[in-house]
Amino acid sequence: MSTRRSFYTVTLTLLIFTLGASAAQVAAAAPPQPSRSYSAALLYNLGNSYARNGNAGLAALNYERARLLAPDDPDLRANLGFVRSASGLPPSHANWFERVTAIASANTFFWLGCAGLCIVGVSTLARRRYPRHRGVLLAASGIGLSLMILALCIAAALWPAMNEAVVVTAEAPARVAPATMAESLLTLPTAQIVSIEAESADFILVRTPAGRTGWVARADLARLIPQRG
Amino acid sequence: MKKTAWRIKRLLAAMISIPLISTVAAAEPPSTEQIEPAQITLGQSAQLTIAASENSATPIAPPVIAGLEFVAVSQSSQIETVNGHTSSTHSVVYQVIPQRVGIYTIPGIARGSQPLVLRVLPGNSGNATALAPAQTGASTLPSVTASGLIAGATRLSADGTAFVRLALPKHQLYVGESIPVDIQVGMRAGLVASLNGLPTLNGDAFTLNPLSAQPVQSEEIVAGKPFTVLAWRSVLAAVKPGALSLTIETPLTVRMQRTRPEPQDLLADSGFGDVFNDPLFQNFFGATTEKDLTVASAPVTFTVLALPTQNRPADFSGAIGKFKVSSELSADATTAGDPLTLRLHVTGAGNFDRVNSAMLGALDHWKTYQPTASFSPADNAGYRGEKSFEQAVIAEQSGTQTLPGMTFSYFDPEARRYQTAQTPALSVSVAPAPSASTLTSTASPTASATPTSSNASPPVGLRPDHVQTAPSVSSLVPLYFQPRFLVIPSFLTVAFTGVWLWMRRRETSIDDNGSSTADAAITTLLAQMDKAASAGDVARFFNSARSTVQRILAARWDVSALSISAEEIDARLGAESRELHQLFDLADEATYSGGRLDHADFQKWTRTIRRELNERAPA
Repeated sequence: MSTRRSFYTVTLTLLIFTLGASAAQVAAAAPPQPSRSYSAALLYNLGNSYARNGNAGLAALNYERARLLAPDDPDLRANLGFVRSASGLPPSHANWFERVTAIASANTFFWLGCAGLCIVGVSTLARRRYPRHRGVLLAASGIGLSLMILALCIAAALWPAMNEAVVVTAEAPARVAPATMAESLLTLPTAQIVSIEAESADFILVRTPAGRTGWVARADLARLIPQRG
Repeated sequence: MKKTAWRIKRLLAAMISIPLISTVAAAEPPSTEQIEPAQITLGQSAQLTIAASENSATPIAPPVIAGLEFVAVSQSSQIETVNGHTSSTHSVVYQVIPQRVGIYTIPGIARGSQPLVLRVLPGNSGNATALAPAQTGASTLPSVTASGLIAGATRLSADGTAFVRLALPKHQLYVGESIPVDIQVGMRAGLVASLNGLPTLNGDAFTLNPLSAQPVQSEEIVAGKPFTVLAWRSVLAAVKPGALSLTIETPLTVRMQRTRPEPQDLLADSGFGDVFNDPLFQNFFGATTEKDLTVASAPVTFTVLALPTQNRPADFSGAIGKFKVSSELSADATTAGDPLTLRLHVTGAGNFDRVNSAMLGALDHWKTYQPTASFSPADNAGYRGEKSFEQAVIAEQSGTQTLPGMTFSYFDPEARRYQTAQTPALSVSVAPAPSASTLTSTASPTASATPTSSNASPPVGLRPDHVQTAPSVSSLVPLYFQPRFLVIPSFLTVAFTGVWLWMRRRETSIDDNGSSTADAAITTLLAQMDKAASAGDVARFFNSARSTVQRILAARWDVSALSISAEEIDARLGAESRELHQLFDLADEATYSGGRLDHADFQKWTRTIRRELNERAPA
């Protein structure tokens, strides 16, 4: 009897402490009045505004940013495809993983992963105490583990976006060296998404989806995910 | 001797005459007269300069010549010292103003000077000139200005240097009616130093629009004298009915010739009188003086009528004049939901500040907005021009839609009645609107190149904006890569691992303690079995034996000792459980019914228990 009471006490204390610590972390992370705030609708409308003004680069940038928060928005996908096609870029085809994971945002999957971790931990602890419910607890652990794996896969898929940029000017020459007088290797069209390989003072070494690299002026690019929020 | 005496006389005469001649020569420098230019046209003026010795017995005075007027402009003096003798020259500059065409001879004013000739040719001024002789303060006949307005009476100022005059199209008008007006200010050249301000209205029954920025300058002969005339164009309106009059005033600064003061006897006696009378002294302090004065026009009388109240249209906004209206639509064909611009043009002459129109109000199948107005004047005063009204309208239904004509009411002062002008109705072909999800943006850079031709065409263009209802985040960086959020799964992992380790350690400790306790219990039970066998207590013997087996098997199977029953033993051991099953049955039988065993039976069951203890005890 005393063993069972001790188990309940420890588990309850652990959950309360975990939730308290998490709430404290979130509260500390979110300032009372953030200097900048992003919402999918705001970014989407901003992209529409840029598109109407003929700035396809900034329109695509804001659509891509909105897609981070609302990947399942059909209007967002349609307008992004419209702007890309207007810029002469091929439409972006999502693979099966992207289509599946488009049901929720990356942040939602993060919290699902945390929930999966909790399920795995609690079920593992309970399995030691209740060996007769081993089957149910093993199933719960499997579900929690699946959620954790899915969240980790989302994180892995998101990682390249941390170093991606969008061409925001009409034409961005990619040069052989980080200098204005350097030879231009190719010209990147507006709204083109490139991955950042390295950075110099005023130039960024980018790699196109086709695998070509070149130094592009920093003013011609905008990071998909701003480094400072 | 006579010859010598004559030579001495001649030498003395020469010695005396040389200084005298030189004195006379120094005292009488040559007088000069000069006129430039020698040929002018009527309306222009020439400049006459007369220079004479200060010691000259003839004072410098302008000649009197019929047809020429001499106006002193400036004076100057020049002092020279030759061989110790000082002489001075006085110069006077006159402005020669011809009053008629002809060839004039100006006689030599100074002694020894030659006469001058001035040719005056006919002028080519575009303005009509009034050559009638006029006295100061007299009025001349009205003249017609270039703008077609009839100039009012010209009344010169008291000194004859300036005048202010009004030119009006008529003297009978309605309250609120605007009429163009020319305000003319004439100034004598050389006599008016400056114009100190714009003409202003003197009267509270009229309003005067701001004067035109740049006046029109012309030359005009009034009362035989040339005037420079500045004319401003504006619009005049009466604010109340009745017989009203007004005047226009203009501040001026005129240049007047100062009278020469008489020398004081004291100064004359002391010899300073000549100094104060010296033209150089007078010129230094200014021989002419300036005076500020205000020149007013002759009163102009108006008959102001009130607007009739009969037959006044309901939409009359106060417009008085002659107007024409027209309307247009920005496109002949459109799509339902797309805005069109309806324009109403009101052209003509009148008080455009009262020209107003509400255009179209609420209409079926149309959505209308408030109109805006703009005015494009055709003249400097804003009396003539075009006022345009623009209204955004949106067709709400497809098909051929018609916008009704618009009316504009005004009062025609010539016809003396209200007029209502109407524009024709406008038709427009309205195409059906695309569905809401395929709305194209007209401002999209590429949407215009991909028009929606039919409903069957695929969706093109930008989809509409969203209403912002989604929660906002402070950062676009996913939570996966924000260190402050990564603390959460890390903490959970550490916490669960810690609890798991704690539980495992605790169970291990319990197992260790349980094993030692079970061994002690079994030893105790075995001792009780031996004691019961010695005493022949069957029930106690089998109960102790059963408890010993339960303890042994519970420790082996990691279950509670109470859960070890005969059926559990059968299920786990199968055929090997026969003796143990029999032991449990005998224990139950002995508990409830008692029984007797001989010594051999006690030994047999004791050996069986010990064998089970050796075989099935946990490692």
